[in-house]
Formats: sequence, C-alpha cells, structure tokens
Amino acid sequence: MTIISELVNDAKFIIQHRRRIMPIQKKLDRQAPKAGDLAPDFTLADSSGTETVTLSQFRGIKPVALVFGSYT
Amino acid sequence: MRLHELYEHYHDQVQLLSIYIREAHPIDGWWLGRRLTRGLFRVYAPKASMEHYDPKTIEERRAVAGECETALQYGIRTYVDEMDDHVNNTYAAWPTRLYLIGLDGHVVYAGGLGPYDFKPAKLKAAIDDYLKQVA
Repeated sequence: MTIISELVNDAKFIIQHRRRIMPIQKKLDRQAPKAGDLAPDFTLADSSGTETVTLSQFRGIKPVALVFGSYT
Repeated sequence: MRLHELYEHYHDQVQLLSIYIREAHPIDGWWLGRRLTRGLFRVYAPKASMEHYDPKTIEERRAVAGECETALQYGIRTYVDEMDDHVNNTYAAWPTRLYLIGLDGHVVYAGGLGPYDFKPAKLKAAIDDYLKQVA
C-alpha cells in the first residue's frame, strides 16, 4: 500500500470514528452537571481495588478537583 | 499549567482525584497509532500510550490504570470507574475532562469536552477564584 493510500485510509478511519462518537458525547454532555449543580456522588476503588473514595466524603473539608482520563 | 504542577501547588487546599475511565484510543478502538496520527499524537500527547487494548474486565482496567499512574507520576491518586462506565457517563467525561467541586458539593467549574477543552490553566483559574471566595 502506498503512503498516500495509507494516509487516505487513516483519514477515513478518523472521520468514521468521529461521526460515530461525537453525537454520543454531545448527548451525554447535555446531561452532565453544570456549574451550580449538585455534583453527582460516587464511590470508586483505586487501581489496587482495595481502597475506595466517595466524592461526598470531602464535603465541608476540601474542594475537589476531578481529573478524568485514560492512558491512551 | 500541567497537572502535576496543579497538584504540587494546590494539594494542601484542594483534593485532587484522578478518575480513570474507558480508554480513549485503544488498539481495538479509535486507535491513533496509525501512520497519519501517530506522529501528531506524539506531539500533542507525548505520554499517552498507543499500546493498549480496551480492558474487558475491571481487573484489566485497574491494571492499566496502575500502569498509567506509575508512568505519568502526576502525584494525584487514581480511582477507577467500573465497567458500566457510570461515573464517566454521568460526568460526560470521555475522553478527558476537568471539574471543580466546591465545599458544599456543588459544581464550581465544569471544563469543556476534551481533548480540545481540557485546559488545566482554566481549572487553575477556577481554583484561585474559588479559594479567594471561601477565604
């Protein structure tokens, strides 16, 4: 496969994924908490699975900065 | 402003939590390791991995989260969303997003959709404003 055709295939791949994912992301964004909303509470375990955290445990103690992401 | 700088600057006053969610660009998904995108990805996200498949179990997700925590060294404790992606969906977090929650449990700052609106500098500004208000 030539470089040009590889690049064209890569571009098509990106466009297809964006078209599939963006509507879902935008729909979730409309429902997501906004400034002023009560932050939805949650409890999650750490990467070892042994220690947990609950968002509301920090209420009245410290503000919380949430950083969402993944390795990829 | 980078995330580890935010941690170093504010960790006494603000609880920073890293919430590990569904992979953004796994090999078996919207993989950016192909010819066109690999170079661009390296420029904009030099520490991101291009070598992981999408975890199929919570154990797999926790293992990748642990690798990420070790590799990136943000200093921020990492907690892992369950495989139903409940917290991710509730906060519309995928692929990456920032929030600041106030002492009363209400959202002070809701960052825009990542990756383009993932801006630690804006989170910093929100933290500074909030800490002045509550001082």
